[in-house]
Amino acid sequence: MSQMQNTAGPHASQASRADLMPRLRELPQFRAISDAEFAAVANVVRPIKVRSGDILFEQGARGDTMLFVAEGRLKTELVTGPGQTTDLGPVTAGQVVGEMAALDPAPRAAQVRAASDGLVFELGVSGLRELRTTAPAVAATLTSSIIADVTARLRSIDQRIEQELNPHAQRGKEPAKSASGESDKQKELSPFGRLWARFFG
Amino acid sequence: MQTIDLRKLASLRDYTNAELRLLASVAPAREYGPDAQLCREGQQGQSCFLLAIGEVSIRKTLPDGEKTLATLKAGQVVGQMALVDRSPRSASVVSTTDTIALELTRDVFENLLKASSPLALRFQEQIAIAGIRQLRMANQRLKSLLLEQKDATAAKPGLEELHTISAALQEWDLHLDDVPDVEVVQPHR
Repeated sequence: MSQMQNTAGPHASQASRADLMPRLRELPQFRAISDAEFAAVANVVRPIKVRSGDILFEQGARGDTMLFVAEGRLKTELVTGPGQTTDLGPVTAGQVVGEMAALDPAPRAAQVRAASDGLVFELGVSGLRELRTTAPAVAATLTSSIIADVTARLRSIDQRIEQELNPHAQRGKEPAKSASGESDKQKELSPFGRLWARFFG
Repeated sequence: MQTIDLRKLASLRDYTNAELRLLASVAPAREYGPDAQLCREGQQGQSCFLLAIGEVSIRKTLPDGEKTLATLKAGQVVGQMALVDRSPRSASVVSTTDTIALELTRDVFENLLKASSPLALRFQEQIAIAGIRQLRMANQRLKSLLLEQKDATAAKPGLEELHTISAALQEWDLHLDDVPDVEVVQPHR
């Protein structure tokens, strides 16, 4: 299991950090914000270059950060036993992973691995709190997006439970779709895998 | 006139005086007798409620009749999904004692958020955290069920277990904190 390559982490040169920041600016979450707001964001995120195979989040380890994927592809996996994983689907450029831990630190529910070389930006719980003062509109937008996703997932589980409780009456009722949507990869999974992906991805 | 000291609510402990004053001014207090409906399952939700005094039960209509899924007490918040989406209420909220609740509407919340009000940001964070915790709890329960179902010899989940998960989904427990007295008005419903 290879370690994450923190080549642009705290020990990276400022030039390297500065070189990578335009990639952050290109992400959909930060395209429309003001320069002052972006400066505040850039001050609290950490660019990390990853290599294929790197474990970015270890299942069960306490997490307090989220990752914005700027380049490359990650995959989320549920570790079900020694050397055994269930694929929960990909996370691609422009998407976010681990966002719940950035608001409420907790053990990671799944493993996240780099499926290719790439670049991610890490935002931690303290950084997000700082943004509430330095760039409140950005913090509000990020939090709103997390709430929307969590709410959609909660409603989806609620409907799934209703289907279990009342299979005939609820068949026509489709579960709410997650704000992030269901990926093609997830659609390829078995019904069991798709349920995992819906609830844990 | 009855007064409420929001400072006494442990869930509002981290709030500043200014935030609590603002909360008291934007979220009118509603007074309910026992067995009054704060919100009804299936109806469009427009607001959430911070319970200041009393107790409410969360009730949901299930195939085998109406069930009480959870009981919430002073300091807890209920119905906050209405602040973030426009789906119908997933359960009814009914007072079981004399109850006073502060009602925060979606319009007010959105306006505060647009103005980057620290109160709204704090409230928003807590809504998110409460939702995340509910989701994690429900995930854990559902995970157990799915693993059981994966085992061909395992039966489908029992009603009791599904009710337990459903209860977890309804149990919004926000942590808000202290402030001056607020005026209590009669419920408008």
